[in-house]
Amino acid sequence: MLWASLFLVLAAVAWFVRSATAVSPELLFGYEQLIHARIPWLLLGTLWLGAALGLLSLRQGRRWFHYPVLGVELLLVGGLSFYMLAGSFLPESELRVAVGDSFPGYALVDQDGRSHSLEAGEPRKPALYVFYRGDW
Amino acid sequence: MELLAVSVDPPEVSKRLRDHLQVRFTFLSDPDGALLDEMGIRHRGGRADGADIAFPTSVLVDDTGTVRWLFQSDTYRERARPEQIFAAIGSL
Repeated sequence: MLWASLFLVLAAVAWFVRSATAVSPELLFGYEQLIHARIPWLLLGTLWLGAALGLLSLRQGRRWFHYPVLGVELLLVGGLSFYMLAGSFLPESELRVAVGDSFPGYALVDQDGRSHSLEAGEPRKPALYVFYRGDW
Repeated sequence: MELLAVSVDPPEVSKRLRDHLQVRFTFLSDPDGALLDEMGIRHRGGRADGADIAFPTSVLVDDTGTVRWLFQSDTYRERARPEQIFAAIGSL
């Protein structure tokens, strides 16, 4: 049971790491969970099931390796649970633009240094602006 | 229809990311956060090194410059679903 629990925890961690680092993660099983669910319960459930099996395995007998294995499992499960339930949450933004408002004007440069500017309310091609946190 | 990605990253960082992702849409740089402030989406100290960055936000703007759809989550993991975006575009 200990090895089954370790397998579940490591599989969930690998699933998370692979999805978080993939260039085309939509091709991966379960990616939808990680990027479109506010809280990825399937991933958390897998982690918690793994941890529960690990703890239950103690009732089947204890060998020396139970403790380091369980220690690693609990660190991984605790860390990822914290990340999913608290660490990745943002403070409240002070969003000043609502549906029906004019999109603000701007004068910015693109990836090649070309200027792009628009006045608020100026006719333009319909556009989807995706504000992202940046690459670092 | 135009797709624009906006961040505080300087152009060279955006270019590197764009090349890495192998996409062809435009990446706009807002290093001072001027547009972020207009939008009210500056996340002060949001980057690991303490720099200000954007709250992840998607905004659909029509040909008159009016905001027609907007998505913002309270976690940086969650992105708008493609079907939500396509439905919003379809309603323009």
